[in-house]
Amino acid sequence: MSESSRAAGGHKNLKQAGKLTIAIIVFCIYLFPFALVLVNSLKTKVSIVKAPLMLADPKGPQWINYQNAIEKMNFPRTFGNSLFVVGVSVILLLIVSSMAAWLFVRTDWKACKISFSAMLASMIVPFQVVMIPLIAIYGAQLHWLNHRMTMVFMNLGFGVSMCTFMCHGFIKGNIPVALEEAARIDGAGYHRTFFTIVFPLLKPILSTVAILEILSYWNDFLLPSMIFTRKEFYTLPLAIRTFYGEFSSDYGNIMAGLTLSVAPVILVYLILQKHVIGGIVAGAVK
Amino acid sequence: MKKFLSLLLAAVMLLSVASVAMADEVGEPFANQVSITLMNSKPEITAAMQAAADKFGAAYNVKIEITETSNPGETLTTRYNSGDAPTISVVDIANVKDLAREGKIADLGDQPWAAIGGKDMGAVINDVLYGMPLTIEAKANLINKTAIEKITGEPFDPLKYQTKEDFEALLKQLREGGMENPVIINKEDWSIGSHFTQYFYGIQDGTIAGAEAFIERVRAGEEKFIDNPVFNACMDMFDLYMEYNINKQDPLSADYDLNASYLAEGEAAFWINGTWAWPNLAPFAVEGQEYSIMHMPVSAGAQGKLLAQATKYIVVDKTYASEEQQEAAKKFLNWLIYTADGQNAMINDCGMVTAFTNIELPPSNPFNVGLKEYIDKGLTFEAVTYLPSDHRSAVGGATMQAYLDGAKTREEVGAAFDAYWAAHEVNY
Amino acid sequence: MKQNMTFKEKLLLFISFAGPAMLFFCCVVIIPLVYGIYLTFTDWNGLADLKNFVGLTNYVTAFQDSTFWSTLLMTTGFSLLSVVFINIIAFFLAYLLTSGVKGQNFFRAGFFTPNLIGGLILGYIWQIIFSRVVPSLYSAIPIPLFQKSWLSNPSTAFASLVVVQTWQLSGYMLLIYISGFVGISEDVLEAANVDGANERQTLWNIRLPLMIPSFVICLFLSLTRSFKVYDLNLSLTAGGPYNSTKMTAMHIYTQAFENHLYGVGQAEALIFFLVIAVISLTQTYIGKKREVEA
Repeated sequence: MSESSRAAGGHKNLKQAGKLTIAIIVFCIYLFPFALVLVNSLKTKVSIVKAPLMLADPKGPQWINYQNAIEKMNFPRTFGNSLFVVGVSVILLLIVSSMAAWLFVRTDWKACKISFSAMLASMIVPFQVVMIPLIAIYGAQLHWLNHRMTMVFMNLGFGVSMCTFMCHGFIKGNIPVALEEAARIDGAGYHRTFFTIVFPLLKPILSTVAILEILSYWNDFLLPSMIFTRKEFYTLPLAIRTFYGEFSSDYGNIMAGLTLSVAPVILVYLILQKHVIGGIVAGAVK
Repeated sequence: MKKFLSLLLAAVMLLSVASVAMADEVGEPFANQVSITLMNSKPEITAAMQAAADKFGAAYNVKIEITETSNPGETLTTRYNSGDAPTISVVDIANVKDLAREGKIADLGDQPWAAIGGKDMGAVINDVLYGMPLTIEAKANLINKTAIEKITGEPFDPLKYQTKEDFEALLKQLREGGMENPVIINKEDWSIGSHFTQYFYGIQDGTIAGAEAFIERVRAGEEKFIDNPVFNACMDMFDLYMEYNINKQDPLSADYDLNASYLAEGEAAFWINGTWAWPNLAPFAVEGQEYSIMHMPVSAGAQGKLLAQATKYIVVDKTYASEEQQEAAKKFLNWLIYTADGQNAMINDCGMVTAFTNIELPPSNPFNVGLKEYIDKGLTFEAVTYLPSDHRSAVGGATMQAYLDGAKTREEVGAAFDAYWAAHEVNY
Repeated sequence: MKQNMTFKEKLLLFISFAGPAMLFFCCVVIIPLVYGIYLTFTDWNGLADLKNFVGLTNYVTAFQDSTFWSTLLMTTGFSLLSVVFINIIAFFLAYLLTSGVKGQNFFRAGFFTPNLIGGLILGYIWQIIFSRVVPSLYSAIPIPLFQKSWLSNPSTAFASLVVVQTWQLSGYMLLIYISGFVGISEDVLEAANVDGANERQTLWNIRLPLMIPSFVICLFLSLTRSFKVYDLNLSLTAGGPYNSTKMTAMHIYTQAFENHLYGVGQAEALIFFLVIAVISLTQTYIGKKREVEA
């Protein structure tokens, strides 16, 4: 090893240490609010209000908050509802949008251009503009309220724009046409080409989109609150909402409920994250 | 002998309970189960209400599903537009007006409870009774009696304090006695922007007619707020509160739950709030401390009286609910008012004071006990029904918060209210 | 794509690939939107059975509503500030977390947590921070900034909104930037390395231009989301102190549901939509042009 490269190595270590320090500091700032939730989920309301920063309740950890949250939210049922709605929505969303995005990238048809522009523009529409018309049509006219599939249907409608938009960018920049053409020459139809060649290559972007959409569907409150007016269909945010009072709330239960409801999302994130990084491998092979 | 007597007593009580539980006013159970929904905008009573509904449902073959909302106006708009209106709604007066104007809710004037206080305190619009008064609440000073008495050394009688001057002397005494800032002012717009501003109108002469006459004079440009003696008396009172405000270092950072703890623990003695706050205060309450309420001691109309009125009303949908569902809804209301179980649910489980003269159960929490004393002495007055639903959002909240923060003068506050009334339609 | 397709082939291909997406999209967004536009020409109040046609009255009222325009100005300021902070922070964090820092997977999970707390509870947590934690810092760091709650003064309350918006959305955009960084081919970076480019040169001359698609997406998303901010506004400041931080979406909401001026609220929402559309599409157009040049 030469002198200069050793010096560069030392420099590199220093730099790594610097980066690590920055990462740790920013990390703590980012994590602080979530840590507050976690810490306070084990405290009584009195000590949450009087000493939100205190780490432990003087009366010991209040596991009762979790017990209350599970019982009062009817956690298994609510969790199941959330899981079904979000799971079905996201899986369909990924398939439907990536197909549309692929067509939009690979053709210059007017219909595609108009469709894509309309989707882009719709991402700007404030939800309040369509809120009342939406339920007037699907509630009062079609009586579709209080069905889980209605929620899936609406999640798809509101989600396809962003998902298509992101896949569009990825396909355009990262998927060479040559690959598809090769498959076409081998006699594969468009659908087979898409599902065997293109779709697997979309893993990094689809994982990213999946995470983002799971998050927004999982935490969504306003739309589900209009679709599900019966308790048997409640999703997690709707159930947590029952701990809010008119003037003051059951903070301990809320924080416990919140912790319980986000735990699965963290798990999903950790799994999907591997696929986001999987993109490096895919790129290197190519 | 003693045992026999107590047994007899128990038997008599059981009998009377049993006869009330099947009160005539409620009627017969349904042959086939009826399903109805109830939208509750008073979340703290949801659990108790659901328990009551289940009890009623088991006896009368009705299934009631309760959902709750913190924004009844918006929820009603979405529920009515989605064709899924709740059969029964627990709402505020502004919502009753909106629904009644569009002909969405049933006339409850023929219900038996109308005659026993239901119509007097209910939501009556154009002489039609649309809303059953669910609960009577007072907007008042919540007090910690023990904390006051500890400093003054004498029993505290709220009625001794009739004028601002009387009250100021008391505050001074408390401050000298070591309670630096005995008053707690909320920062919330519903508190200072809605409840407090009702005094501007309500104590013009203590009657609704007087309030409406004042509004008419302002709208006609004949009178300005800043020239009105009652407005000035209220603002003098507010200035006094501000001077002794425990949050005065940073009044808009006041925290509702901390405020509750200040009163509960006797750090302060007066909380400008209302009787509904008992569930909020209870977690902080200290064993042995005595809590109650008192009127606002301002020298104007309704002097020495407590601002108390029905604050939540129950309405029954007639647009989407079938005849049978409406029938079931009305049965439930009668069950609440006329049976021992129903009364127990309202008074003890929900912790409310009601308008109905047939209910003899004593109120269940200290604030309501205080309220009942004022009611029994005839020392209450009503306000509010004439204020448009955007009074708080358009003028009350922001203006009073700015005043509390020192960002607006009294003249500017008056001018803001003048401008509001000049630009707004009124439908009483 | 084959050049000489018949119309029937094209139609079949369109229906089978874009059909489902467009069906959901039209049913859920376009049709209600059209119905919503129709409502702006009526005097409907949100509850009435009758809707009377009133022409452009609602638009006239909207244009005369000075509160609407002042909230729009503030929302624009809020969005621009947020967009700048969000993207700078997210970009550099993403860079940091893809440059082989020890435990980067662990860090990524941490930076992701802001997205986990949504709705009203988010506002409550940050209320504790701004009104309780901040003043308690004053004893340690006695500067005027920490003397009072941030939520009781109009300008610090505004700053709080920017801080939380940045905190939350930077965690979100971070994910998109990470997938952008990860998507850059190793070959290109190796080539640069061989040519003797140092880290900073690689970042500025190789990575940055290749990241333009990610920038376009993130700028677009952060801009439109900041403009549309509602939940945070409601839960953190509720428009206070004294309506000084009431953003446009919240104002529209008040108009439609509290003041019962549904048509006016809806008309204001459409004007609002056009304003955001002009700003964000211009920005996207410029970005796309750069993308082509790069």
